[in-house]
Order: sequence, then structure tokens, then C-alpha cells
Amino acid sequence: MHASRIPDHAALRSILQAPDGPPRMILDIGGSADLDGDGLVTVHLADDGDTLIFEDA
Amino acid sequence: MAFTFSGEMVDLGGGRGWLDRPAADSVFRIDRQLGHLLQITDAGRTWGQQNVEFQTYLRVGYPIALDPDTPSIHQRGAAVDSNEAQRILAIMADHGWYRTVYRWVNGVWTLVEEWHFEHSPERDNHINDPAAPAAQIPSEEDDMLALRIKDGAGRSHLAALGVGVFRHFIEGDNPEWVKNVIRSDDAWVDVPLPQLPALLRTYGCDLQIWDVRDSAFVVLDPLDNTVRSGNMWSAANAARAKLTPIQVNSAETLAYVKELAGKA
Repeated sequence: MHASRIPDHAALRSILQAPDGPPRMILDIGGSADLDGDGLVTVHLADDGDTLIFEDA
Repeated sequence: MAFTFSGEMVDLGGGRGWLDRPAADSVFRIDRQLGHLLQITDAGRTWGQQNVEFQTYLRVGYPIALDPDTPSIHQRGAAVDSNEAQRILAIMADHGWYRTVYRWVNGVWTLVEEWHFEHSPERDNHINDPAAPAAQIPSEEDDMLALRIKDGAGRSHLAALGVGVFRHFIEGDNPEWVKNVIRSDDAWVDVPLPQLPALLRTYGCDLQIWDVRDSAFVVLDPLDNTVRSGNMWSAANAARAKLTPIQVNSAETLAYVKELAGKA
């Protein structure tokens, strides 16, 4: 999975950093940019509260 | 490698399925805050159940479901799908429940599964509050009421009332035993006769299905149109009674029916 191919990191960061935002998101990226080909990845913030951590789901 | 749930499968009651202990206790606290059971369509899933959802997602692309080997939060017993929860987002967030499923739609990250909530204990402001005692959560065996109906003359008539079902007991039914089976508290509910119509309406029963005749409580059986003590009225039987019976035209079938009648 290539994080660079996942669009609009700023929007993701904004959603996760919002006071009522979820602690993590499941993203349907709709293609085969992830490792297992189902188009799903998760993202959450690192401990610094700013870095996005993407994981294949 | 297939994921195996190793937590505690806690029954949510009301046919809502199961969750792991921390999430289940949170749901119980929400129940208590709402004053009723939170509506839940789907909760914990087994590997097999998640695989069914995942295969559907792979085939049609909707609804989004994770690979059962990932696994899904449903498999960890920490996710629910709920319509009601969508109307109480502030309460859900206060208890650590958040919606998480997004899709890239027209250049915007868009929440696409409004019904899917995941529990985050670290965001649960009530995580250290006691959960509602299990006894406060109605169990499935309490779906029916055991009624002790008091008429104007001070007589008691025993009956069971469920959704679309009203059954009068006669002594031969051993009503005490039946009451203990259908009620976890083994208790009758005393109902003054004037209150009976409101209860029947609340439980989806017709109103003109009972009477007190010659001091006896009687109920209409919609299948045979008899009105007597010990009868049961049910919405299902009332619907069945309105169906047109199959008219037997085949000579062979008629002969077979006659043969059976002769053996009776």
C-alpha cells in the first residue's frame, strides 16, 4: 500500500484531529493500491497527533 | 491465519447479539441513559459471519466490510450497526462510539456508513462507571406478560400477553407453571379490567377479542370463531382465518381426504 496514492491527507488529518473526530478511519480507496487488493486501508494519527499512520485492512 | 475472538462474549439482551465486555458494558450504560434498549441491527460477528459480509463487499462493493482475517472490529466485539444511534451522536461520542467508514467520493472523504459505530475505550467518558445490572436488561423470556386480570366483581382471571398474542388460562393449563416459564421474575402483573384494552392495543392485539360471560373470562379464537375460556387469540391466526382455504378439485385428492376421514 502506497500512502502517497491515498488522496487528500490534509482532509484526513482534519477529520481525525477534530474534537468529535473518530480515533481511526476505515478508507475505501476503491482500487488496488493496498496490499491485499480489496481497496480498504485504515488510518490513524501517530502519537505526535499529526503524522498519519496507514495500514492495510 | 483465521482470527479467533478471545474476549468475553456478552449477550446484549433483546436479541441484539453480543459484544466484548467493555463495549457491552458501554451499551448497557447507554441503555440506562436512554431509558430503553438502544436499537442495534448488528453487533459482534464470528469469522464466518464476517466472511459472508466480506464476500458480498468484494462482489458488489457495498456495504464496506473488512477481510475476516484483518479482522473487523465487529469480530473483536467492539462495533455495532444502529439506526437509532445516528440520532444521538453526542451521547454515542460521550460513551466513546464513533463512525469510522469513509470513501473517496467526488474528491471528498465522505462518511458512507452512517450506521457503523466503533467503541474506543480511551474516548469513553463513562468507562469507569458501573454498567447497569444485568437484571435491568429485559431478557428474551420476558417478552410476554403474565396477567392477573381483576374484574369488577373482584374475580381474578389469568392470561398471557405478548406481541400479537393473547392467551387465557384455565386451571388445566397449570398457569402458575406457565407463568414461571415465561417470566424471569415469576410474577403476575395485576391488571384492572378497564386497563386491559390499553395493554392489548400496546401489544398489537385487537380489542374485541375478549368478554366476561356468566362470570367467566372468554377469548375469541379466530381460527374456529369460538368464544370461550382457555382460548388464544393471535394476530397470525386472525390473518390465517381470512385466507381463502384451498378448494380441492382433484378426484384423487378428494378420495384420499375421504379415506383419511374414514380412519379418524
